[in-house]
Order: sequence, then C-alpha cells, then structure tokens
Amino acid sequence: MKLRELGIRLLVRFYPAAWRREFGEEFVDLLLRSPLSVPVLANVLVGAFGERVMNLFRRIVGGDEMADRTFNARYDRMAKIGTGIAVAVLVAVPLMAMRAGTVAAFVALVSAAVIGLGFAYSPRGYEISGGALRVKRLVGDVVFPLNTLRFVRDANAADFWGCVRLWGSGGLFGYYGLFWSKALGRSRWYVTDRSKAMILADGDRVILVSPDDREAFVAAIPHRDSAMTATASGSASGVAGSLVVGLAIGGVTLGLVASAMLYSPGRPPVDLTRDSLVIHSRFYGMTVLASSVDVSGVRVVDLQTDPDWKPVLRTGGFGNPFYRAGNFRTASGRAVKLFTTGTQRLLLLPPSREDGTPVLLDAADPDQLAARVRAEWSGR
Amino acid sequence: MARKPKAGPASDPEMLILASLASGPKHGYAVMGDVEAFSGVTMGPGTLYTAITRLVEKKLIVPKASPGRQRPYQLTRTGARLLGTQLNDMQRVAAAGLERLRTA
Repeated sequence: MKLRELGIRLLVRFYPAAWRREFGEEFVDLLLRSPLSVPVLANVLVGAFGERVMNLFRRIVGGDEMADRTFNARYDRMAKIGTGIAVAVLVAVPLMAMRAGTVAAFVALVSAAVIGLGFAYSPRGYEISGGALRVKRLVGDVVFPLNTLRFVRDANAADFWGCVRLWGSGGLFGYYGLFWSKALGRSRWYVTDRSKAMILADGDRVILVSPDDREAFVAAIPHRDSAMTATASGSASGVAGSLVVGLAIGGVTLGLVASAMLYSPGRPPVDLTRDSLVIHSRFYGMTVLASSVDVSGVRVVDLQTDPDWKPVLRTGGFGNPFYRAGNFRTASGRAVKLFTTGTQRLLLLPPSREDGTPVLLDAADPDQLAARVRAEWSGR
Repeated sequence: MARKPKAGPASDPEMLILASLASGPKHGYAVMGDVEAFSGVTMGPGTLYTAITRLVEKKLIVPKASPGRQRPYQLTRTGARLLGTQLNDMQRVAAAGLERLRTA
C-alpha cells in the first residue's frame, strides 16, 4: 500500500466504523482521486465529526434507517435458564473446591475460561451493512456476504429434526457453533432465540441467525428478490421440540463434567497384613509390600506444616478437588503415590530403596494406622 | 480545492446530488464533477458523502452493486418525486421573485 493511500485510510478512520463499512471503500477511492489540500482535509474531518455526532445521536435516540440495520439478539427462555444454570454450576464448583487448595485455582480457571469463552463467542447482535451480514461477537465479527445469497427464510420444525450439535454451545449464551440436521446438513448457528431462527444460504454455507425483528431483517437485505425469501410455518413450536436432543446432549455433558469434578468415593479402605498393605482405591488400587517400605520412616505428615509433601501435579490416575488417587508430584518435585480425599494429615510410607516411590495415604486415624504399620512390619 | 457552496436552496448538497442523479446513476466522483459542471458548486468529499449518507438513509437514492470500489447511486422513485416537487417549488418561487423584481 502506498503512503498516500495509507494516509487516506488513516484519515477515513475518523469516521464511525458502521459508516466506514457502508461507504469506506468508495470514499477512500474518491479521496485517492482528489487533490488533498488543507481545505479538503478539513472538509473530510468536519464530515467525520458530523457522522460521529449522528452516530451518537442514533445510539441515544435510535429509530432511523442506519439503526434499523442493526438487530438485537435476545435470549429465549431456554437460553436464559440454561445459561443461568450453567453459570451457577461453573461458579459453584470452584467455590466448593476452595478447601482443596491449589486445585481450586485450576478449577476456577477452567470455569472462568468456559464462561468467558462462552460469552465471547456468543452472538451479541446482527448488522447488515456494506452488502454483508455481520454477526457481532466480542472476539470479532463473523461476516457473511449477501451478494451470493441463495435464499433466506424462517426456520421450521423439519429443519431441526434430528439436529445434532457438532461443536459449540447448545444453550450457554445462546446456540452457536457447528450443527447438523438431515434437512440442512452442516450449518453454522449464531442463534439466541430459537423461535426467531432464520436460515441464510449461499452456494457454500448455511447459517442460522435470530434477529429480534425478522421482517426488518429481511427488508434490510440488499438486492433481494421475492423468490429468495420464503416464510415457513410452525417454526416457533417446532424448533423447541427438535432442539431437545441438542440440549439434552449439552446437559448430559455438563452433568458429566460436574460429576467428574465433584465425585469422591471416600477414603480408600485398606487391608494390613504382615507382608503388605492393600489399598482398595476405586480408580487406582495398589498393594504396598512391607519389604518395599522403610518402616523406621513411617510417619504422619501434615501438609500445612510440611508443605514440601503437598501434591501439586497429577501425572497419572484420578484427581478432583475431593478425591485424588494415583501418581502425583509434590511441591518439592518428588514423585509420590497419593490416595486422599483432600485432608491435610496423611500417612507417609517411605520407600526402602532410594529409587522407590513414597506412598501418601489418607486414613480416618492416620496416627493409629502408622502405629499399626510399624507394629506389623517391624522386626521382619 | 473544495469551494464553499453558494448559499441558498440551489446549492444545497442533497438537492445538487439528486439533480445530478436525475440523468442516471453515477458514483461519488462523477457526481462531484457533474455538480461542479452544471452548478458551479465544488463540494468537498466530506460534504458530498455526508449528503449521500443522508440521502441513502432517507431512501431517496440507493447504491447499486458494482465490481469496482466506487458504487454508483441512483434515484429511487421517492427521490425522483421529491426532486421534482422541490424543483417545481423553486421554479415557482424563482419565477414569482423575478417577475416582482422586473415590475418593482
């Protein structure tokens, strides 16, 4: 790009973004053909200021033609309820996990990421300008050119029959992502209200949107002809029923994630014999041979006063804020076999060999179990 | 260089653009040259596109699809009707005013 064009494009940026989308390219072209004297520059800046003022006026008052090209994306009742439940769960889980220390931070981070990404990628509204439909999102608009539009119509029950969500959200901040149905094939959804879903298709893509005013939305599409638009009946009631499958999958997935994060089978039962300690962990059972343990080092460690033993990283096995079983790394970097429900005091079974792995075990009374182990295995 | 339009209804940018488009669709640059040719008014680019923006919003003109960067604009039926009415009014006022000047 030449310096002159670069300067002109910077100058045009004084105009509001919506105006630039509609008139920007041709205005740049006009300025490229015009001599750029001081009065011309002043004239452009005055024009930009005027458009900025008009833009502000439109936002405050609304109701003119420019504003009519922007359409709201309002949530339907199911999206509101689904979003409320999902956010409540995602906020509650890290709060419940607070007692699990460092793990809580990870859970909170995951929850925040799910909520943040869900909101950022959700459609915030629609705008028709510059011959294209823009789906407004926090992370960037999705642009759908309208000059190759084949048809636009209301969605109906048949369109959603057997609908499956391949990727995206099925209720959290709307219904968006990649979906599949027999009638539509693969389609991209940017929907927040299923009863107002509209289908737009060109040669390659099928997308769904849900502008708050469908009639005005269709009217704002440039160069449309009557054959391009069609209204299907029964969309409002049909969409709700056919989306149950997608919502159910989303609900089950959310339920499974919540279960995995909250599940705890409790302290693992143990069987102590003269030769071994069998740990009956549901996910990661093991047998500790007496010969592999340095009995003189068997003791109870308190993770608060002895933070070096604090498990900080799972390298194998199962772990959530309420139950951890498997291979972990401690704060000091040591590998351990860990079985805990999240308590601070754990029985330590140190290895007899230098290359062995210590075992940290949660017990109802760790002091008593330590005494039993020492009594059982001493003098072997 | 952009010259300040002469005062009066005959130099109103929106009216000048409508009058220019009365002979057929034109893009912005062509409108600018045409207006200057038939009225002697040189509109700056900012003035021109402010007026075009308002006219599009009022649905008095519409952009046509174009492969190039410059989109031609054409009068809508409403725009043509409004232009006709305004010009007739102006003509009537002009005729009355001129007549009175002659007889004063």
